Amino acid sequence: MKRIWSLIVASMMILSLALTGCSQQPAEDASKDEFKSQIFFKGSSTLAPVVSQIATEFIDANETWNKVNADFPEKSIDLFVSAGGSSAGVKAIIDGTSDFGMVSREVKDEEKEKIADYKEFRLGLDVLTISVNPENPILDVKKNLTTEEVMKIFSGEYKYWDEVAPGLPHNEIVVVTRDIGGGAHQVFQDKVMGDAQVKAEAIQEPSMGALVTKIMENKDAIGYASYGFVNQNVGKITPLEVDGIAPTEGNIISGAYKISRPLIVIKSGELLPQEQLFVDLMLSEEGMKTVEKMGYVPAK
Amino acid sequence: MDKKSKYTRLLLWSVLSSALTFAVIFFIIGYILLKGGGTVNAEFLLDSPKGFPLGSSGGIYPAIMGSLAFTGVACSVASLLAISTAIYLKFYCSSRRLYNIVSLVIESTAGMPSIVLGLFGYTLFVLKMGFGVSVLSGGLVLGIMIFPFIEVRVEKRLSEIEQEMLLSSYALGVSRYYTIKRLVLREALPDIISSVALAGGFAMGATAPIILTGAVIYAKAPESVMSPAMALSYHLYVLVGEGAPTEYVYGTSTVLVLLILAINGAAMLFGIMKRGE
Amino acid sequence: MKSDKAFELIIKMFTLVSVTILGFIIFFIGAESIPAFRHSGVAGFFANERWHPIGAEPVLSILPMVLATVYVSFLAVAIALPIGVGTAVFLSCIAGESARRVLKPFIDLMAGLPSVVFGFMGLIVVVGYFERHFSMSSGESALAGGIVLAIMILPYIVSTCDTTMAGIMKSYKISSDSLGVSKWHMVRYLVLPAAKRSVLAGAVLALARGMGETMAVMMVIGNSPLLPRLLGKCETIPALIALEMGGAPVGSLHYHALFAAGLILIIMRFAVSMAVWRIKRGADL
Repeated sequence: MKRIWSLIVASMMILSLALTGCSQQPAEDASKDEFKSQIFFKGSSTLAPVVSQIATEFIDANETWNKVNADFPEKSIDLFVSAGGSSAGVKAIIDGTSDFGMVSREVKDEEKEKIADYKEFRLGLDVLTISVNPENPILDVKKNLTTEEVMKIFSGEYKYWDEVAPGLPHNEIVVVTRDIGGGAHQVFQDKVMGDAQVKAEAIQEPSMGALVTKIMENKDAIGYASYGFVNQNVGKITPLEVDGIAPTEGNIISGAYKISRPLIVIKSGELLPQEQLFVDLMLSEEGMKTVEKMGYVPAK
Repeated sequence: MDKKSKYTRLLLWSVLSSALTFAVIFFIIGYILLKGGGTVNAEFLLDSPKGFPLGSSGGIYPAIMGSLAFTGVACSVASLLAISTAIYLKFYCSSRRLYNIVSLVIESTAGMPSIVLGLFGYTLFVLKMGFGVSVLSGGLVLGIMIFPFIEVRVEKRLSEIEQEMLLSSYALGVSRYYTIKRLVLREALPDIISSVALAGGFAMGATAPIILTGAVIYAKAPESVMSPAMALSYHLYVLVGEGAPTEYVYGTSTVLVLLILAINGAAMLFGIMKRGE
Repeated sequence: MKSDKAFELIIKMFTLVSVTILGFIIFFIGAESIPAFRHSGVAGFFANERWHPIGAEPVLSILPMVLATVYVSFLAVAIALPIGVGTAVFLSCIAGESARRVLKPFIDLMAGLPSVVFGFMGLIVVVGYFERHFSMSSGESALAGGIVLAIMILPYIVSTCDTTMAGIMKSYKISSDSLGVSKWHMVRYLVLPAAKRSVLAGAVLALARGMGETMAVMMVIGNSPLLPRLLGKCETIPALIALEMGGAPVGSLHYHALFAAGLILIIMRFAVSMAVWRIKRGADL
């Protein structure tokens, strides 16, 4: 019994010492000569799966840094991806809690001002489709909405489907949106809503995936689903035309479909060689293929 | 009023409500285990999450290891501090006022919503103290969350030790330290361990405190406390949100529930075995 | 004695560390809330306007969230209380000692299940059921939140009530039996009245717990900042913090506003805990 107790005390003392000890080191050492084997990405839930996918393939192929480049030490490649929304990505860069931020909207000037030595890398292009459940009868009646109609639906001016087009059922329109931290929320606000507000009754989802799932499950739902997710869920969710223009790859590249947004990775300050290497990989042909495979329009 | 029918109603109410309660318990656990049991195999347990949305194929190995790491940090920090505090309050604290202040502080922490602790942990541990988004930051927040849980139970257990035994030990001139070590802890150790284990199960299931402080959607199994990690509870939340195929969601739930059941079961068994001797 | 002194020192040090950290949390949250209160005043937080923490003219009213938090947790207690007390009566008075020993651990087991699991089940079973059978446009609602939360707090109510009732049962059993009082008479006229305070304390404790619950509630209530209605969507304070804390840069008004929302939640819970304390003190008399 005596031994158990002293063992517990001893191990805990060592642990607490170790914890306080190693807590001070990383902040200082990382910037000096110690090789930083970890790269941390945070932000957009739209972009997170793309970066995770590239990261998984990179780790599986190489495992340690020295296999990528002989100059690097033999340290395991640790890439972390965390979601939370585009604003969380910008916030993480401003707060300095992440190496890279993933943002699926333009970074605002006032945000750029807060980031020292701002750098951005464009991975691709996405658009927000105005999507409904495939069972929604609107698809038989009216495949096209004007920007104004979209605005009226989201602001709550049209409360029931039969107000949108005669002949539709008198069902309440279930508007699904992202929370205010989502990139899509701000893109939609800028490009469609203008000064109007999305109605308070809208369901706020914490990620793009959750938004799309809600549309798939609810036949009265409408929401601004990302183009990539629409491509991933063909037949389960159907996009409408906006002002007569369908969200197709051609219309996205030409810029005709206007509710578009960039998919970018941002960074503050100079990139370490290993960070540069991974960014190059994301921008390479291989990386672009992944972006395309995930349903988005690659930047190159 | 007819007495007989009054009693029948009382009986009916209590039987029906307990039937409902246990039906709900068995439904939840049965539903998850039945639906998820088929997905859980060696590959699921030992592979990394893959696919789009992430986690729609592959496995959950990093999340299992991450959950264990978060829980480990939380338990070691919290039990060390909570047991010390309980011993202090029970054996060293001589001022009534001091005792009340410490108890009040502990009680207010117990009443603190876990999401608020997460908010606090993000600013203090992640930013100000420079731990970054890491197992350490997340574990510390979880540790704060389970601190009152352990402290209250340990203090209660220590109070149950017979005063007579303590007094005779002191009267024999045995030092307080020796009394605590040889008498009190020997007596209470099984229950203390059981409290810590229960708290561990509680920490493992918590999601809100680690969203900002330590959990990520993609990482390898953690190799150091300074790196972020996946966690089963957070992974489950992300999977549900992303609309991943349901068998993976059920599979992850099954693993999480089984892990927590195992921890709680071990804690309970420990208590039962001890009472049996 | 050296080891004696050292041990005492270590214990005191760790206690000091704990109390400092815990005390600091409360201080810290208060301090981080101040800029938000300075911006819109305490009254501004309860003005019935919409919550717009970002933009040119931020509005920081969380009245809908405060009401939703209270509404959902009261709803949960209202659902769970009769079922919980009934179960406790069954466990303590009707089921025999061996049945009780088998059944009681399941209650503890339920208390240990993680909240995401409840949220997930709520989303699939409760929300799904509402959408299929109630012709509701969306199943996410205060009622769904109330039901899920009721299931989560049920074990707390059962545990508190069962412990007290079993105690009362034990202490009166012999005298009642010898007087030839029927078991049901005893339950109705002895156990239930005597357990009233502890039932109340259990209910209030469950209420406090319900107010702080984040994940499970957030997954099923739709998170729209509306005044709560039974079948309408709403957003509780923990859900608000969980949804928005990721995107609020440290030091921004939005960030301070979320801390202020947290502080208000803590004060609400503290008020509820004080109620428990008073009830308990009354019970001892």
